Amino acid sequence: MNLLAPLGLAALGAVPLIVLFHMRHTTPPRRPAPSLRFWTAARPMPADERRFRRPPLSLPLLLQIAAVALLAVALARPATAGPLAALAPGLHAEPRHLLILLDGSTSMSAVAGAEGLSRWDAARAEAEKRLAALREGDVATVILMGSRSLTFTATDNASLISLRERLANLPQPGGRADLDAALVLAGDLFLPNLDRQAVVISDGAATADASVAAGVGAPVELVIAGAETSAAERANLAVIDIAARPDPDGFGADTLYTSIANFGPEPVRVPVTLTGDGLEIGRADLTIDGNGAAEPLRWTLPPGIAELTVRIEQPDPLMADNSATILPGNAATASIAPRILLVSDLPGALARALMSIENVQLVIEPSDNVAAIAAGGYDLVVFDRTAPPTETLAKVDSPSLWIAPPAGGPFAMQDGVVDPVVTRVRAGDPLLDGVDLAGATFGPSPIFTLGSGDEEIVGSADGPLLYRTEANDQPAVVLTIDPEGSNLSKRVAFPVLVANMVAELAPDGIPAAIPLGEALVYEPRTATAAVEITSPSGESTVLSIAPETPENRASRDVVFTDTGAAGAYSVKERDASGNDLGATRFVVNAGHGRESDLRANPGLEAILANATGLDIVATRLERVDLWPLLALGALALIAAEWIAALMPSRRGSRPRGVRGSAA
Amino acid sequence: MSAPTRRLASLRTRARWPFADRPATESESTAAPDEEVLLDERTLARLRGLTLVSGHARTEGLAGEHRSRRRGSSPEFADFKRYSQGDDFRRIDWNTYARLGGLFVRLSEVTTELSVHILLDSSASMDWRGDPARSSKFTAARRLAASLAFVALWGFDRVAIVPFSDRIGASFGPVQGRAQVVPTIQHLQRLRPLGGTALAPSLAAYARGRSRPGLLLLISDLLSGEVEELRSTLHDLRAKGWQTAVLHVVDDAEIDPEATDSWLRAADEHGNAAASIELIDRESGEQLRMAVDDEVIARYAAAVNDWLAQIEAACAVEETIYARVSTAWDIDDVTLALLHERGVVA
Repeated sequence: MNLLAPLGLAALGAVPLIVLFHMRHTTPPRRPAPSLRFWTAARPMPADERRFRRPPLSLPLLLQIAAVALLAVALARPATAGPLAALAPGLHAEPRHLLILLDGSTSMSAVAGAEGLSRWDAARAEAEKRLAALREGDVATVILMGSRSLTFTATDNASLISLRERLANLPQPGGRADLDAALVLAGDLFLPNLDRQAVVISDGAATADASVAAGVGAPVELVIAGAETSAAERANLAVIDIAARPDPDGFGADTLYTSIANFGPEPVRVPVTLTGDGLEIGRADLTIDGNGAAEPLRWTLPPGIAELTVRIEQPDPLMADNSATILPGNAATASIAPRILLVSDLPGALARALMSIENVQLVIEPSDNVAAIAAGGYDLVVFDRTAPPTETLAKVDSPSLWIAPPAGGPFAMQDGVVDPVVTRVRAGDPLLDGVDLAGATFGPSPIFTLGSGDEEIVGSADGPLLYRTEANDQPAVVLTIDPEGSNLSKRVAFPVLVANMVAELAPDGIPAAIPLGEALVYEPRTATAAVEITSPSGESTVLSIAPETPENRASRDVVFTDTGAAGAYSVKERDASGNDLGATRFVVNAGHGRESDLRANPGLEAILANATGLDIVATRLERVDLWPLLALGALALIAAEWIAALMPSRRGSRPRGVRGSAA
Repeated sequence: MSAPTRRLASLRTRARWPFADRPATESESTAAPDEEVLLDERTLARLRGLTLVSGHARTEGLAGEHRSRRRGSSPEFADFKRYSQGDDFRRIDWNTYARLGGLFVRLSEVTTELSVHILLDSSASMDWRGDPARSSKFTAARRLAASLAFVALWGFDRVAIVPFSDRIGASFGPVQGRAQVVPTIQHLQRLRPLGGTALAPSLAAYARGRSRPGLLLLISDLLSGEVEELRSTLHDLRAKGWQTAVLHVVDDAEIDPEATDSWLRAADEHGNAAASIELIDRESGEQLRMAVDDEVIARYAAAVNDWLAQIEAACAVEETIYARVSTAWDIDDVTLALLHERGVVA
């Protein structure tokens, strides 16, 4: 027990005053008597003439002292945490700030028990219960974790009620729960001078960093929604990956790649079907080991399939991730995907690397088709070991990628050929993200000279091997070596390097598939003024896009977060006049390597236990403010004192019975 | 009829007929003790069947209803006696002579009236009550005097009511006859306490002023003088042929230790019981400031009991009827029973 206002104990100073008041002598009451003869004969003791007497141990005095003591202690606002909380519901001490981190990730869709309720339902009910325990003066904040973090705050009773109602109807956002980011946000949102408490309501299938948890500044309680389910009930199967790419054998057919994961404890044998445009075109029985093992599947697709769906034909707690869809024909029909012109007389490794980039439109033209090169309309032009005439190059109005440009091209070079060795690398450059050049040999290469403003990425002792420059006032990247003459084209580093160069020079394309709840983020075209996205249910959302300026190019990205429903979404771009600029589709699939794993993270509770308040050494219990009880007790004592004071006069005024006194 | 007119008519009605149709309730008697109705119809009904016992007091006259040992010529037959010389021969019963041949004289019974003197102590000590819910001793004494006066007048006795304190006040009467009941009680209602007390001198002075003794009823709290002084006066009265009865009016707070304790320790208007008290003598104004404790109350009770015993002994020696009447008693129950037991009424 501690005192929230110790200064209130100063009221105990009234106790000596009360004692002094009772010690003083009062003028005795005057009473007429029929005669004093017998009183005189009774030899009475004379009345005490002193101003004060010894403190009389009378009941009124004791009751008054007790009442003042209780009031003084009540003014000091004693608060306790313990069994008294049950005796005095609703009497908690300080206003507190309860911050609930509510997991709305995809895994919370799993059925939590026999009642058929999902973990999301259980988590929402737990959050409502926690909010219902709050009182006037408390502050509640709910951080909804999912594809996007939503924050709700309530500071009074009305807003608390509103928050609970809102929570009852809140749709599950889906996606992944970034618990670390939510904990950081919680630490920033906590109000000062309030009793802080954070509650993470999750299925436990989340991870957190111990250092982040320790920085929250409040104790964090972990509540597992659906904790009563067994390990077998958490066993989940999921399609965690799906992709369709042209067959590497070069026969023009597409190949579907998919992975089925088993997050249960035991190996299972599951039937998997492949549906193309509504017709079953493949079936397989897979035996998958337990504990998260994944089994890849590969199907060669017949041509002309617009929509493919892989489905696990076996029920489990999370049915949403039992199927995944892809739109392999979408790239051909989409008009929003980046258009890349490959100018090559002998397409080889470069062409394959470009084709493997998802959701781009690739057009290959020979170097002598000058009209096609000059026609423009492409987002990126790739020159493969060739360079257009100067007048043609002047008409190229898009960024360009140059692979082993020949002499006489737009770039300065020296005479001579060397077999370069990498001696300089610009560390951390995005073009080299995931690119491992160790062991790569480059073959004979010309020696290029960097111009002013050029930026070398990879260089040798003789000159740059990879650098940024400008061509026709447009951004350009030059790879000086010939992939076909080196072993680079046979290494994994090459398609990654090509993908990085395309990502830098060409606008982002809309991904063909994204996980459930993940936000769709892409860069619209320059002329785009509005983007309309239609969900699988047919609901359309129109996002306004600001006109492009040099200052806001990065901020023009389209961010669409309402991807909580699995299925195909359509995207349309319009210009400021309302004309259609293009359309495409993307698919949202629920399967995810982490969200489909319904098993609780055993270390999460220990990590969250590191979180403490600055002055809190243990998890706080419900603290009860005792002053109302003490004030009530003081009032009862005052009432008892009144009754005690009135009793003698009532006894004195009671009529007595007739007593015969005749002699 | 307006409200003031109604109140005036009510006062007139009370003045003309000072009896209530029903017993007075407690609230009425405590709300206005000075105006309380002294007797009610139920009490009067009981009183009508009583007569005062004359004892050895001399009766006289022929208007009363007291039977006399004298034989006279009234129509009420009493006995026969043989004629002897000197008898009034007009009283010889000739019918008896015709039957028996002897002369017999017819004797008749004579009834006489009694002179009743009610001496009412009107001193300031009588104007006191230990419990605000009860009547003062003076009111109780007046009620007792009214009862006895009613009995006497209803029996055609002569009644005189004499208030006294340290002197003898204006007396009422002697009056006789039932028509005097209302004026007598109205007079008692109008009486007010007078002041100090000189009990024995007043008693002696009154007796000296009367040529013929009668029944003297002393109604007092006796808080005056010494007991020996009272005994001496009673002795003189008895020697002169007075039949005397002492009706001692007391309040329970005077003689009952428990009631005394409650009166002394009664809480003030703030609910505080006093540890000390200042007593003021009603008659002398003398003050006594003292501590209230159980011992002083016990000594007070012992002194009072000793005084009461002395009074009773003095009355017994002087063949005086003594009855102690509490203000807590009703007049028609305990009081009349006690007076009947002590031979005041029959």
